[in-house]
Amino acid sequence: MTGLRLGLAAGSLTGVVAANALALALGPEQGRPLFAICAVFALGAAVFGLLVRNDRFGLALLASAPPALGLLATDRTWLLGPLGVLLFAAAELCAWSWEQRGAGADPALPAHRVLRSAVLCGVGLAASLLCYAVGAAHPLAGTAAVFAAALGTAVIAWVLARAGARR
Amino acid sequence: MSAPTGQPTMLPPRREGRLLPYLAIVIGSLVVAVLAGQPAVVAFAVPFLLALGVGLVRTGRLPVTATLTVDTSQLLEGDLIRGEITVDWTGPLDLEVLVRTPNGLVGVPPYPTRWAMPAATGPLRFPVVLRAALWGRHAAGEVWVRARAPHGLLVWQGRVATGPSLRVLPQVERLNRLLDPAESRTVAGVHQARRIGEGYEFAELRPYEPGDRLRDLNWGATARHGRPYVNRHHPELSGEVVVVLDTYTDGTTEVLARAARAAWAIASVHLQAGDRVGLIGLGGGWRTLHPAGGERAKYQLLETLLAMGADAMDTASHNWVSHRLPVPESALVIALTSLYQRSVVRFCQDWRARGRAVAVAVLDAGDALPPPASATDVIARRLWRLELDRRRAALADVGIPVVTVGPGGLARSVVGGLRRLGRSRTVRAAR
Repeated sequence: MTGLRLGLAAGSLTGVVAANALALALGPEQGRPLFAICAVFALGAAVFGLLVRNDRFGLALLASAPPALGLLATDRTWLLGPLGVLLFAAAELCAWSWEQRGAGADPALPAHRVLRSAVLCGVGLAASLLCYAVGAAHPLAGTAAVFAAALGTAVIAWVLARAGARR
Repeated sequence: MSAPTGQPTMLPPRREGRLLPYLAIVIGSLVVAVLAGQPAVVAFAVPFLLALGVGLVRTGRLPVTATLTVDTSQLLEGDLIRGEITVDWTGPLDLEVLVRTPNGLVGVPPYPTRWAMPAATGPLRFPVVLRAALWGRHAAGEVWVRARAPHGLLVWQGRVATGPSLRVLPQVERLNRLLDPAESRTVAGVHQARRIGEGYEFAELRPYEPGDRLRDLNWGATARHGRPYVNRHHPELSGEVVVVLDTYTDGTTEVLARAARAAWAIASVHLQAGDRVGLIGLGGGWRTLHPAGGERAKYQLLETLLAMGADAMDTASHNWVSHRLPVPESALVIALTSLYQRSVVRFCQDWRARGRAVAVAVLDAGDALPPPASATDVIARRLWRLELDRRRAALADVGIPVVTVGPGGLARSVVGGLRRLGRSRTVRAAR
């Protein structure tokens, strides 16, 4: 395992651990044992996904969802968006670390690759907070509004990216 | 030299490991949000939704045009091959290009055989330097490409080009001595025949008889005895030699390389001397070449040798028996073997039992092994050495001369050793 891959894998694992730890610490007390089991499973899946099979990292994301969604029982629901971004960043780092497999000598850290992932995470964070804000501001039609906003965000991203690719 | 360039290769997309989990999180979160009436759940899914939107911008098959060109089609073991890969495609892609080399070719550090370029646009050219590690006919590598769009969740991967076929010849070893074939043929050559006839090698002195040539008169003997005496000579004839090349391998190439060098050296020098030389390959796929002489035979022999080299790494078993092998009765069989396979011993014994003259050169590649890593390793090697000694003894017991060939002076030691043993024990078949 090269140094860069090790660093990326460590960052990814940190993301999963941080998201689950935050969700457990700030989530409701009554469901904590169940959520803890999910978190441990997520941690194991993340390690397996980072070291053995990259396509198993998805299990870590899915197992992290229950502890995160447990925040719905508290008044810290605004944290769902940042937790989603944290898990998303962990998944991106995992994919990036697997891209480094067999690269031989450590290549220089490609700045634009970091920038690209950072931009995606930043836009994701902004969009998720925006969606949360829309939902919070319109409580009567919140779900539909957020649903529409989320879909709209994805469509706009898809159109812009497609235009960029053609250019 | 270049491989034939054709239409672009259409690479089908494959989903990356992230695609399904992202989809599951997005769909699950949206369903939960709608069912539970909790808009905040959607915020959890938004980054993944965004990634899906961006990651599926480019779909469908990806046309990639690639060529691998090299500067030569024929080279010697150990030579370097220089070439160039050209890859072309449309749009920006994170691209990985890999040259997969066949068993006979290897990369040369520090020259890379893998390149990774983020957000690159075609066409691109990559210089390639490879080394011919093993004799035989090999393709000059395959070009594999793995591409993904920036932020993409689809991967296009596949082989996009194959290099031209290369002929890697064994390194040349020079020989200045020949082995004696079992029975010379009545064709002019350089071997001394057992019978007496026209030639240059003195055989005997006898009184003149009508019909003898006057040029054969031995004037000294004639003067001493007071009656005419003539010199008799051995005719110089050609023989038949069948080189048996054992290409069974334990995965290392050193034994194969040494065997090929020795086989080629022995065959070349005997062809040059006017002998008829045949070749039998024991290994992944068995091949034979009937004994023949002349320039054409030399090229056929080389082609067969190269084909054996290409088969050499294939260790699949085969189901032939030695009596099917076309070894002429008068031929001297020289087996070049590592004795890794017990069956080779059986084949040689079988040839010997059928009256062929057989000689065996055992190729010892012990020097090519890494130093033993543990006491178990030392014991294992000692046991293996004992087993090889037992196989050598099994050959010697039936009158087959066996020489062990080390790394230096390979072909010379084969010929020298077999000639030496031939004097003491005979390399000729009992008839």
